[in-house]
Amino acid sequence: MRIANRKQDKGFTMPEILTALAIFVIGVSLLSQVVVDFLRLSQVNFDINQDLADIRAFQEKFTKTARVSSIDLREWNVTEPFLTTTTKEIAFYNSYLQKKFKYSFSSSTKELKEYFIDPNGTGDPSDDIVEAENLIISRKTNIDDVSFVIQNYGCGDDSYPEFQLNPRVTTIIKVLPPSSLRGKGLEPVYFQSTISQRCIEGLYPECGFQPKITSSGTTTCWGP
Amino acid sequence: MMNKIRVTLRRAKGFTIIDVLTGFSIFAIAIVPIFYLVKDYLIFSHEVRNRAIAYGLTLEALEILRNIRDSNYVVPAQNWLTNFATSSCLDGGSNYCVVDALEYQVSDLGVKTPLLNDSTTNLYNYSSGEVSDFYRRISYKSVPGDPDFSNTISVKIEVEFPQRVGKKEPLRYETDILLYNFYPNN
Repeated sequence: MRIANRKQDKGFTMPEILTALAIFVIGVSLLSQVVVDFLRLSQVNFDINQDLADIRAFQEKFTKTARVSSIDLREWNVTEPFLTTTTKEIAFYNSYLQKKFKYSFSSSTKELKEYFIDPNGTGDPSDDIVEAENLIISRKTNIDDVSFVIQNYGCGDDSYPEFQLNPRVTTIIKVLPPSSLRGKGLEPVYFQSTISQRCIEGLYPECGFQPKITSSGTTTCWGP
Repeated sequence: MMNKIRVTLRRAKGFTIIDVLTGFSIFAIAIVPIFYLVKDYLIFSHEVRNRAIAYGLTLEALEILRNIRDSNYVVPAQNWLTNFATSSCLDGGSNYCVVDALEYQVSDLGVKTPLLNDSTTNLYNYSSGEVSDFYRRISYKSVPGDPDFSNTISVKIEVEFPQRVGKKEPLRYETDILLYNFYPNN
């Protein structure tokens, strides 16, 4: 019907063109907003997946260390058998490997690093780093903060009070909303995980310190 | 001039109001699914984050229980399930047993209680902080042949969290796992 009319009209009229243009402009403006939103949300989803992948990568490394190492309490000058403390960095000592590890998050650069430290050094990890840091997360990320809550059960070994047994470390990783959505009512997310040492006699030979249960049922601690 | 336009308009026989409304309707019908797609995408992203947090909280409870068990080995002549509250946290009871990263024991709170989020440490726990959307419950079952948990205990961890905006039914992660006594003869 319209085609027949157009044949008679020999071309579009000015109102037709203006109406078509108006509809086109409205349509394009709405669609462009949809496309922009879609691209932004694609970025959000990508960011979330990347952040989760980063967190998994960190947790894997961290777990490998924490399972078989003692927390070095010299970091905080604490020798109490029971300890709850929150810190931005944590150090472990593995007497079997004769290695000391430190995990630290820089608030300024947003980098999460693993250090290897000289276990025979001064006791101050910042002075005793013997190997270059192993960057776990260094690229641009939405991870804003990492903190560690340490629960330490202890073993009561007077010979080595600074290396306690069965510590438990809870890691809290603060992840900001993607930059394009910050300030729009979305709150940061806190991913929480807990890893404990698993140095039970005979279970992990790479544990330097282990609780040893004697035949009479009493427990003593093995030193390095 | 105006007369000329009026004449032109009459001759042109442009779009009728029906034409325009039909066009708008088709456009609206086409664009609605796209809006829904975008909305769903945002909701899905929110749910992915909640699932990741809930997954972490599930594994955390398991790790804490293992740590309590391992710590029992360190104390001379201590039962391997000390601080597990096995008698009050049996599966199917009216209990609501919880444990958090700051505790070395399982506690029965009696009623469904959400985890709190401490504003200082951002730690999910039951001691201090703002009420969160996450719930975590622990219960126990015995395994055949070991009714009094001498060597093995079956632990169930349930973490409940909001599904998505606009949906009232929460999602739930439920994990059943066996914990073993490594030193049954001591």
